[in-house]
Amino acid sequence: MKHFLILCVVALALGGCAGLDFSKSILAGGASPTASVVNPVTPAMVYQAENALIAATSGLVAYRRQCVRGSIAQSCRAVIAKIQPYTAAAKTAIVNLRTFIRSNDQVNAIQAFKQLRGLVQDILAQRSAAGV
Amino acid sequence: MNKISNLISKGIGIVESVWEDRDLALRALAAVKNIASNPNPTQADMDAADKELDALLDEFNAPLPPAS
Repeated sequence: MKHFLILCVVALALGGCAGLDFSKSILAGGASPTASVVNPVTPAMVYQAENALIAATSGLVAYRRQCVRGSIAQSCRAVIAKIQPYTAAAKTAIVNLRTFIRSNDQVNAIQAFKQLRGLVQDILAQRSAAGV
Repeated sequence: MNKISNLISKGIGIVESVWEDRDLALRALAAVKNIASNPNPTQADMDAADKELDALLDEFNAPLPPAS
């Protein structure tokens, strides 16, 4: 009888757990103490990312202007053509990110933010490789 | 006379390009400063950053004019 009661208590406890989300952190309304917490993307984070991109793109624009003026070696045209796909993708990502933030679509905002962060790193890597 | 005029226009071109490069360098520095010192941007700060970034990306992404 005692064992049966213990079994009932365990069963009830487990049944109560069925509605809990163990894939989500307890800090984010879930039940897992070990799951990672994905912070929401805030307008301030977008501002920081935009400024990082402004810093990276200012140098690229200066390089492009020198290239168009012909004051640097014309191999610069190939360098610009190589970097442009990344900066074009960054433009799309930032426009999407702003839209997701405005509509408070956090799921897509997090994806767009990660994509943008990756693109900033790619642009910096391309700049470094080309010596720009 | 023609030579002098060419030299003057070349000189003006150099001054203009140095000024443009200086302006861009200052904008890059200001952006880095914003990252470090403005954790709570206002709506006006964010709008200004949006506008500046769009202008820079549009200029860089535009097709290059044919080489002269």
